[in-house]
Amino acid sequence: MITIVFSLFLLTMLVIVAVGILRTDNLFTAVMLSGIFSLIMAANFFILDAADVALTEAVIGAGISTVLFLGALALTAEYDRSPPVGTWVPLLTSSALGGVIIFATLQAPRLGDPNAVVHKHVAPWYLDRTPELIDVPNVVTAVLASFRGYDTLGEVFVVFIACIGVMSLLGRVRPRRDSIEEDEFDKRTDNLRHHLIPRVVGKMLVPFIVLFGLYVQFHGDFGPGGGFQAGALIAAGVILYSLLEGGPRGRELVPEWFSSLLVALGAFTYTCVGVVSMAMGGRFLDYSVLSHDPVHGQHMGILIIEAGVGMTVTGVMITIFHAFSRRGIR
Amino acid sequence: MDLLLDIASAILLLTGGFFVFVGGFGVMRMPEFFTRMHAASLTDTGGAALILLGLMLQGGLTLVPFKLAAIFLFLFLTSPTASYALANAALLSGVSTACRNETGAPLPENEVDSADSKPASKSVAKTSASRTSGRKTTAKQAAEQAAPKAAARKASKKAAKKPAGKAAKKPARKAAKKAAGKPAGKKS
Repeated sequence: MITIVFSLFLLTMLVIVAVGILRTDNLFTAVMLSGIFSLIMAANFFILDAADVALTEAVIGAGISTVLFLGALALTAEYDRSPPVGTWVPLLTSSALGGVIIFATLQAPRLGDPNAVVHKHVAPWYLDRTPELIDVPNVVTAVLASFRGYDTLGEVFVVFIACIGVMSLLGRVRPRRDSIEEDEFDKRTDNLRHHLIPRVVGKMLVPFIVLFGLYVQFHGDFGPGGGFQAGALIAAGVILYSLLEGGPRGRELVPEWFSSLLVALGAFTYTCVGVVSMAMGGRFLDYSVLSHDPVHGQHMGILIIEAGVGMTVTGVMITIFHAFSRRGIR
Repeated sequence: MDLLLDIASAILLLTGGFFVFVGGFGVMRMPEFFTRMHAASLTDTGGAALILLGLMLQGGLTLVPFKLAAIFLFLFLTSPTASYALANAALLSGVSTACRNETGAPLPENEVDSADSKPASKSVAKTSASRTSGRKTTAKQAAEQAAPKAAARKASKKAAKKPAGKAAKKPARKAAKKAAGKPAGKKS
């Protein structure tokens, strides 16, 4: 009951924020509101017991993507231009699509209905067999990393390809800075180094953020967490440092070649686990053959591929941020 | 003992809720940005701290109070910083500091003073400090604001100068460090 009340409250807030995003002309306001939107969404996910998704949404939606949007805005204008078409076409399109979605939700099972299709299909099998086959307390991790290892591999490659796409759009161009002295260059970069209080407090938080990221990485077998969340958290720590100290110092901390290397290395590690398990007589991404004991093999496989996922996600986030921050210098 | 704890936590929670309410009310009612921020910071500090304390008492001797204490520590550090960053950004981007009434006319000077120096909490001092130093930097308002609060401003000006001095030192050090020409030689 209380869940429903909270969810209704949060969903109402979401609608209000969404209307706010639509109605504002100032793109900075829209970016901030979309950060708030993600934070409310994360709270909503948490209420629905999806702690993994909530973590990701909070870190990426409210944190990193807000920073990336601001980085994009630094390259473009602050105000929205009026759209090329009138307001009627978008209104009709979105009403039609919204109508379809609302019509679809009429068929959806009620919240928490035990007879819903998703709870009858493969979920009981996963819940039944996880203790015996994989033996990790967090079934989500078991499903994500082992039973559905192909899907996760696909996701990692989606992130990998997205990074390549962003890099080919933004490029690795270096701004014309050979003529500028280093001091002058520092002055032109947007950073918070001149603001003592945010810098001191922010830098104090960075190690804890990274530590928490590592905890989430290695605790994924036992509780909410795993490579995606951990990667985003660690990248958030690095990005916070770069924001406080300026892009050049951020690039000194994590050089671009290193973050790009992480992107490739993570995906490579994941694939290697699959290939090695094939070489050892199993199927692709069948971790049971990695050790004498199938369950132990599963543990090992999950640990390694989660590390791969974490590396790729960290690398992608940092690489994209660096690409933006270096373009922002004019 | 349980009853006492319950009563204490109820009092703390109610007081915290009151702070949050007053904060929200203030954001709605205050005349301009910096006074609104002051109201909002009540929610961050007083409200959050009291509510967390109240919840800690409910937690008993488990891990819960320690987790709440960690959250409290986090908020204790970050929310004043966020308030500072917000006020500073507003100041730099030239948000108007002049109080206006509902019709949009500026308030008389003495009313402005009594409006923002009510309770002598930390955030008030901070807010008014940033306001006054903002008036110093935006020259057009400096003229109309000359005499009355000069003594209070001295301190805030000093505080404002400090980071600037520090920042001036930093790039020099860094320039020396990076003089090896690493970034220039990497890509050609």
